[in-house]
Amino acid sequence: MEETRALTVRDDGEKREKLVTLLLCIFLGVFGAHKFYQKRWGMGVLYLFTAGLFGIGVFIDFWGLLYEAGGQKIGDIISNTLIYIVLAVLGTLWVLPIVYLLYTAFRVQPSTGIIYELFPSDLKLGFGNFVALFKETQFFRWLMNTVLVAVCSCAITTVFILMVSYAFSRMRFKLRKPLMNVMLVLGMFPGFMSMIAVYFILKAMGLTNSLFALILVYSSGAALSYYICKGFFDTLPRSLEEAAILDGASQWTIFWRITIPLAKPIIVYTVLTSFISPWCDFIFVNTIINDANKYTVALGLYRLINAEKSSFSENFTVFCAGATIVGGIISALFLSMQKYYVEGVSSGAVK
Amino acid sequence: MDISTKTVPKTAKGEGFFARMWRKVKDFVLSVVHGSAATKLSCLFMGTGQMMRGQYVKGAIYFLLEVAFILYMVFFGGAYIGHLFSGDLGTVLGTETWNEALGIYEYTPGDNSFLILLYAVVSVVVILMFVTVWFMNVSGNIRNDKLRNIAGKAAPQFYTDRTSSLVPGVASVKLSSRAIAVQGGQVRATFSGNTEGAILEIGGDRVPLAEVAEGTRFGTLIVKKVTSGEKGITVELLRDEDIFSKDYLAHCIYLYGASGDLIASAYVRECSKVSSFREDCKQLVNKKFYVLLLALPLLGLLVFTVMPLIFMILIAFTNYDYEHTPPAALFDWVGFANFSKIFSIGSGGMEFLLVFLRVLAWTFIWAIFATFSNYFLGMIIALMINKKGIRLKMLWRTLFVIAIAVPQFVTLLLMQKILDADGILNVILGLTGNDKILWLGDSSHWAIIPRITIIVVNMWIGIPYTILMCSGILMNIPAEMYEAAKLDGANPMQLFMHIVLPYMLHVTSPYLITQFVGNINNFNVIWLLSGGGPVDNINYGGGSKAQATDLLVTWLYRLTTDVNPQYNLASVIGIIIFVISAALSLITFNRSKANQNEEDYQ
Repeated sequence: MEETRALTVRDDGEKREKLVTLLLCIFLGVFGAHKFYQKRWGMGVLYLFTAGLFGIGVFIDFWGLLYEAGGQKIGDIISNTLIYIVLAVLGTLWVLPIVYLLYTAFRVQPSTGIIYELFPSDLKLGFGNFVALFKETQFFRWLMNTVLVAVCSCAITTVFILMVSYAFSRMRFKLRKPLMNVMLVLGMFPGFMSMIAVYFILKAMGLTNSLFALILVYSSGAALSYYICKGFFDTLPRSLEEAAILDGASQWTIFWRITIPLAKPIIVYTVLTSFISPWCDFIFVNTIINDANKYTVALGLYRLINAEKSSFSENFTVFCAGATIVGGIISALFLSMQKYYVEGVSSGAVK
Repeated sequence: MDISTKTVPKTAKGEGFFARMWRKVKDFVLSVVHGSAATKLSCLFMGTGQMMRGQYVKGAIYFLLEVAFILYMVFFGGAYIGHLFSGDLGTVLGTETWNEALGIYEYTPGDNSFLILLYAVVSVVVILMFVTVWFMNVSGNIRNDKLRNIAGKAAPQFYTDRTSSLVPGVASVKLSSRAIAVQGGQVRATFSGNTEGAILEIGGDRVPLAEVAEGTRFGTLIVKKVTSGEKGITVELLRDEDIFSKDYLAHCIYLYGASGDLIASAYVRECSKVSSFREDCKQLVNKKFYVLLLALPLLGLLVFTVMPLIFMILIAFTNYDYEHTPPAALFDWVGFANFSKIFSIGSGGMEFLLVFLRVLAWTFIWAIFATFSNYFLGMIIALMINKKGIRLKMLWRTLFVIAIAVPQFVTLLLMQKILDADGILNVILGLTGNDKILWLGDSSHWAIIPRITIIVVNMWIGIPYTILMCSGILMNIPAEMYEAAKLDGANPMQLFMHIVLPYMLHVTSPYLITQFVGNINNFNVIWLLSGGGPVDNINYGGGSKAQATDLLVTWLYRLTTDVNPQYNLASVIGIIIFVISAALSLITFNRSKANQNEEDYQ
């Protein structure tokens, strides 16, 4: 009886001590007050001079103390509440620019320039900017160009990557390792460094100012990004192939009948990334193509607000309308394929 | 003449790279010198040797390639190769002369250094490709020689495999064959399933499977090795050279059960004739499938990556800039002058070196901050979203993922406008006139504001990627690790510090390095946000054109797209970027676990 009470008293004392530490940590943590209270002088001085290890240390201590002082349950409640607050704030921060983009795209006003007032009194919403986009610029043309280039280069790129990955992952030949290393190194060269030379090679082939040249350039470098796909192939079990070889199957058959059907996630990932990249690149297009009829959306929109002719912020609302359409297409594609994308990214990252 | 003893390759272990190369070259030359007339002839006229042995299609292809190469060199490439040897990149300038009769200026085109260099590179690549083809041609002939040369007879190789199991599930035979050019073929038969008391019959000889041992003879075959393992009993058979026969035999391999019933059979045929074109084509979808797979992708790389790259590397050794732009002017080799300019060796003071070091330092500072801020904050947010008891996980994730889904150039241009001096951010903050913060244009205090702004915007762009990646990996952390730690009374923070963080760092270190290299070369974020600006005349003089937030890549781009472009300096910077990135990534990838044991995962 005596003993139990003594224990509770000591527990209470300990608990109060921890609560004090926690409070000190919250309010005076940047000066290391809680460390001093715990009689850990060295750390205290360190905290004092580094503002609590630049706040990170205090943050970590706070989390630990919270659970020590409050126990699992209360700790969970408080920390979950904090997490909700943080997520809500960050989520808003992440969505706000996109909301602003949509808002500007649907905002109709006399000039199409940048807007200095967020909520003017004569605010009107409508599709005016979209109408202007299709009527006054060649946006529809650019869109069609981009779709054409994206579909073609995506098809070629995917086939190339699958072929190279299969060869590197499944077959063994003398030049395999050297080739893999050389291709890895080649991928490190900043692409636009050799852009001028590419331009002249295309010119010698009589291909400048054509969408075919774009497709050629986008898909010719495809083999360099074999790495993720090869990593995926490496994880496929060999037993199926061995069984097929016993049945007299050739490598050709194995590639088409066994490996490709098993590689669906990585194929979707490759298709997705290679389809999206022509929508985002404007540097290569800028060099190869100077005919406004042959622009892709990226270059077209970039030129819309960064051209030498138009003043810096003249076409901002029209740009936002165009960006909304492009963003909508890509987002729809991306969100519907998100699962495969995550698989691809994490399998590539882990390896 | 028997040359086989001279050219049998004896791979000495521990032999160095150069010794191996030297041996290979020696073998090659000896094989040609002692080779047949066909081999010698095809050294000069490619494909003739193949034709003499009946490989007409192959021979014709080689021959046409040689003709095409000679035509190319005579009518086009030769002149450019000549320029490489004469050491100049053109001497004749284009001139305009007054034509009295027509009353106009007539333009006589001169040399164009740019095109001369470009086509010289193309020609060198073509020559290298031709040399490769030539080697393939000659070594094909040498291989044919060897097939014929052993004792005047062709060496046998085992050719066809056929495997079958007559009584499913009882026993089976699996064959694989290996051709060894000089010594003859070797066949390996694996007997699996219930082979107890089975009897093996090959070439008319029957021996109980259990009694088969090294040296057992089956017709013209002799057992070299017997091993029994998980997969069954493996018997390696060689052609017995003592009873060398001119005929090529077919062997049936029969396996009889204890009761005398046939339970499995296989069939193997010897062959040694020079391969026909059809057989070569078949190899292309089988053993040599990789040739077919890699041909087109590598060709694309060669034309649009390797050749331009070699070209741009060469540019670093010329004086190709705005004062030497063809066709108005010529440029020429200048050796290492551009390198000494960047590193300020020799005359001209330290100005350029200082600029270079500043840009390099900022490139690294940027890469470090951009990589680690994204990585750690992204991981923390991913942990928050994935924490047990947090609801609406899908919603939170989607909020962040939308930022990835919108194309980067759109978000970056949008951010540029938001952060403009007249942008919406300053409007919301109520800053006007002189109070306006130039988020991307303030050049005071080493442009600290733009630098921080860019890193923060980059977080907005990059963190969602980390969230996506981490969410996948976090689920793979073994649950036992958590449970054990929780039993020990660890709080969530300790869990993070001692379990999650070490695990993540361990698993994603290759990703981190890739990101780091990616950020060193992160052109888009800098170019679309600040364009490398603001201009800082005091610090970035010396005709370097570099600006405050320029990375090496954007500096390179600026140098090539400037009104007064300096391609030569840009190329030097490109080479430096390349050396940094290649070193970092080669070290990572060759050390990474995955690359060392590729087969672990299978």
